[in-house]
Amino acid sequence: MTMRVTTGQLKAMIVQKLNLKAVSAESLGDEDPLFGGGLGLDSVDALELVLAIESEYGIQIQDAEVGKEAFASARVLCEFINARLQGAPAPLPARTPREQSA
Amino acid sequence: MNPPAVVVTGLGAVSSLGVGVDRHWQQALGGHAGIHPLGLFSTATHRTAIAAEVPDDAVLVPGRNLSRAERFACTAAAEAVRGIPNEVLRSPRAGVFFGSSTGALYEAEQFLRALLQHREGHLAPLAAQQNDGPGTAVARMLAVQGPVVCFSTACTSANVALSAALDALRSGEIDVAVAGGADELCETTYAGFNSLRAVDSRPTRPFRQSRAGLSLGEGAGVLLLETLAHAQKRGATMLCELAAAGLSCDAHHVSAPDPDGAAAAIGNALQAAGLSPDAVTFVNAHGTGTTHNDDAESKAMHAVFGARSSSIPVTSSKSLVGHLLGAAGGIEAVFTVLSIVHRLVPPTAGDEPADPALGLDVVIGEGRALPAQNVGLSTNLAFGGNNAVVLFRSLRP
Amino acid sequence: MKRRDVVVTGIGCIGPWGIGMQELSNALQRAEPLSSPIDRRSHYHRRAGAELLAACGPLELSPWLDAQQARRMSLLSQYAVATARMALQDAGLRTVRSDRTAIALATAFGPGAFTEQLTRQILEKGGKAASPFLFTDCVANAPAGQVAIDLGARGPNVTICQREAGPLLALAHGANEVAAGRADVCLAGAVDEMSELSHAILDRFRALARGRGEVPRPFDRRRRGFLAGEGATILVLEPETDARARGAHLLCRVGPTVRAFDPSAGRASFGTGHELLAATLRERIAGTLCEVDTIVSSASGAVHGDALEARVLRAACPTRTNVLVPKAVHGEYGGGTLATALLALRGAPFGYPPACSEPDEALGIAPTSGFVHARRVLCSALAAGGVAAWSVLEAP
Repeated sequence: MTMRVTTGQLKAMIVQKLNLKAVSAESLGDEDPLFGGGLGLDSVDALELVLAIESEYGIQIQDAEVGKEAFASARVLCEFINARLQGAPAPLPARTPREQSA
Repeated sequence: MNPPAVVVTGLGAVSSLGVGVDRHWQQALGGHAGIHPLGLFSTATHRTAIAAEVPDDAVLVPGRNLSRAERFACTAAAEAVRGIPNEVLRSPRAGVFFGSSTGALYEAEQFLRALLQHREGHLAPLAAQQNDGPGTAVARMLAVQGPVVCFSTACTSANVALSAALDALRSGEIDVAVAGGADELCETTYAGFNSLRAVDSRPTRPFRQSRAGLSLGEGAGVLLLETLAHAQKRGATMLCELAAAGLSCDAHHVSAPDPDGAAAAIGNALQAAGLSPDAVTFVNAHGTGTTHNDDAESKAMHAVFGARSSSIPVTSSKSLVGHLLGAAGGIEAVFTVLSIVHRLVPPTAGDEPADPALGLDVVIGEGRALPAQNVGLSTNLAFGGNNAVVLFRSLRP
Repeated sequence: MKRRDVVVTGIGCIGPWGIGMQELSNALQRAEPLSSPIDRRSHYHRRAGAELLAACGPLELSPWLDAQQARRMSLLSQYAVATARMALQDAGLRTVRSDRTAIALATAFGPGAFTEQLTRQILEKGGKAASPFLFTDCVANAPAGQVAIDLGARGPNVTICQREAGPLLALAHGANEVAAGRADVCLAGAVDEMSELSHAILDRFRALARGRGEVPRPFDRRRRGFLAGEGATILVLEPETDARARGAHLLCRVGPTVRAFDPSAGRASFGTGHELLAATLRERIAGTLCEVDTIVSSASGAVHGDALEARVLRAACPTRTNVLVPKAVHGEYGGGTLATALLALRGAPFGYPPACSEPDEALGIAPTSGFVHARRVLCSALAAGGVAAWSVLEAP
C-alpha cells in the first residue's frame, strides 16, 4: 500500500527539522503560508526542508520545484508529496532559478 | 600628512590553470577556463561532478605533511618574493597577512573518515586545520618576524587580508608584506554549496542569462606589497599601487547577498582612496555565476556608478579559475594587477553574450584594452554578508 | 584623520565559569581548574589521552538570545550573539549606528560541532545529504555575521583565526578600526567552542595535559600540556571622546598591541626564538613596558609554550610585576585572558592555583596571588605555530 502523509505528520517534521521554537505543530495552521508569512522562513529553510522530505519519504524534488508553489502551505505541500508517493507524472510548472525568493 | 603609498612588487598564483603568473595571464587572455571533472574525490554521491582543481602535475613546494592549501600558499608566495632578497623578509619589518577558509579541511575529512572506520589517519596536515595554516606556513617559509595575521571570512578572506596588510604598511609597523589567500577543494564545501543549489553542473557562466551557479576552485594568489619608499630604495620593479580597501557587512542574511552592503564596500574603498566613482576604469567582479550574486552585484554597481555602469568593463576571473573561496581575493588581485600592468581586461570565459537585463559591460571574447592610467576594483562578497573591495591603480607618472 | 584614543566601555564574557565577570572573578579567586570530563560518545579519543576540558556546559543565554532567533545558529554563533549583547548592555548602549559599528572576532576552531556534523553527513551518507543549515553556519565567520545581523552592524567585519593569539589580534584589529575613524563602536573579542573532535585532535598532537585527572600547571615544573576550554569574551571599543561625551563608564584605555612571529616554531608547536620576540617587544613599546605592573600571561601549562613565554617576559618586562595565569583556571581559548585583564584593572582577588605549587626554577616565574589592582596590564599571547602578540590595557 502506498504511503500517505498527513498534514499533522508533515507539520511535525517542519517544526522539528527547521528547529522552530516559537511554533508548535498544533498551532501551525494547514493553510498558513510557510514562506513569506509570519514564520520567517527563507530559501535556506526551503532547502533544508527539501532535504528532509527527500530523505524521509524517498521522493525526488527537482530544483525548479524548490519555489513558492509546492511549499505554499502545509496542506499544499502535503498534497504535493502524496501525489509524488503515488507516482504522479509531471512536476509543477518549472520556474527558472532566478525566480526563487531570497 | 598623507599615509605612505603602498605598491605591488611581486605576484604569485596557483590554480586549475597551473602554477605561475605568466601561465595564468596567457590562459586568461585566451579565455581558457580550467573547470573539469573532479579527480580529487569521487563525485558519485554529489549533485555535480566538476570543479577547478589544481592539476596533478602542478609543480608545488614539497611537503608530505603540509595540507594542499599550505602547499598552494607556499608555492605562490615563493613566486611572489622572487625579486626580493631573503634577508629583507627575515625581519620584524616584514609581515604576512593571509586568508583561508578550508585550511586543511580535505585532510581533516580523510582523517575523520579513517576515525569513523576505527583507523588512525594521517595526522600531521591537521596542524593547519584552524585556517591559519596556509598563512603561517608562508610566514615560516619566509622566516618573517613581524605581524602574521590570518583571516577567515569565507569568500572575502583574502581581500580582508590585503586590507590588513595595507593598514600595517601605512601605519609604519612594517615596510613589506606578503598578502593573499589559499584554499583547497574538499567534500564539505563541495557538498555544502551544492546543498544550497548554488553549484552549476556546467562550468560557471557569470553574468550570462543562462547562469546557473558557481564552479568551485582551489589554489592561491599572493602579492608582495611594500611602501613606496622601501621599494624605491631597493630599486624594486613596481607593478602598480594598492591604493585602498573598503569593507562592509550586509547585516541582512547568512548567505544571500544584499546589494546595499556591496555598494557600501565599494563606496568605502573609493572614499578611502579619495576617488570618485568616475575614476574607476574596470572592475574585477566577484562574479560567481549564481543568480543571487550576479543580481546583487550588478545592482550594487548601478547604485555606485549610475549610468556609467553600462560602460565600465567588468570581468569575472571565476569563469577561468572557479571560486577559490578564501583565496578568491588573492588570485583575483593577481589578475587585477596584471590588467593594470598590461592595460588589458581579460575576458570572462565563454561565448554567450552578457545578460542584457544586468546592464553591465562584461568583457567577453577578446580582452578589452585599457587607457594609460587605470583604477581597478576587485570585489568580493561572502557568507555572513561580509563584503570586501580592494582598489588598485596605475603608478602615477 | 588624526588617530583617536580608544577605550573599552563594556564587556561580556561567558565560559566554564558561567556568565559574567563576577563569576569569572569568583573562579579566579578559587583558582581551581574548571574542568569536567570529555564527551567520549563519538569514540574519537585514544585511550590514555587527555580526559578533561574546561566546558561551558549548559548556559542560560535566554536573556540575551531568544530561541527563535537562535534556531539556525551553531553553538558558537549563539555564544557570540549573546555575549555581544551582554557587552553592549554593560556599555549602556541600547542601539548602535549601523554603518559605524564594526565587528572583529577571533576563533581558533570556528563552529567545530556544526562542521563535524556536516562532514560526517557527507562521509556517512553521501554529498547529497549535506544540510544547508549546517553549511551556512559552519564557516569561521558565521558568528561575526550573526552578531552583525542581530545588531544591524554594517561596518567592517572580520574574523581572525590565529589560535591562541586570536583574541589579542582581534582586539588590535578592532581598536585600529576605531582609532582610524572607520567605526565608532567595535565589538572585538574571541569566541570558541571545544568540540569532541577538536579535543581529540589536540590530544593527538600531545598538546593537552594528559593522564588521569591531569590539570594545567602554568610555569610549573610538572606541566604536561594545557587544558582545552571554550567560551566567549567580547569588548565594546569606542573613541574615548565619544565615550566621555555620553557619560559612559570607562573600563580601560586600549594601548598598543605588538605583533611578532617566531619562525623557529613548528607547525603546531612553539619555537625557541625568545630573544627575537623579546627584542621586538622591547623595541616597539620600551617606554610603556617599564610601567607595566601586571602581566596576564599566555602560560597555559604547555611544556615549551610556557618556557618561551617565561623567557620573553623575563627579558622584556620589569622584574616586579604581578603575573596572572588565568589559563590555570579557565583553560585555553575563549578569550578569558582579556576578561581577566579587565578584572585586574577593576581590582580583584586572585587565588594561587594549587596546581602551580612547584614553579619551574628554570623559568623563574611564579604566579601572583592576592588582591591585584592594576594600572597598566600587559596581556600576552603566544600561539602554537609561531605567532606572538602582546596588548597593553591601561586604567582609564
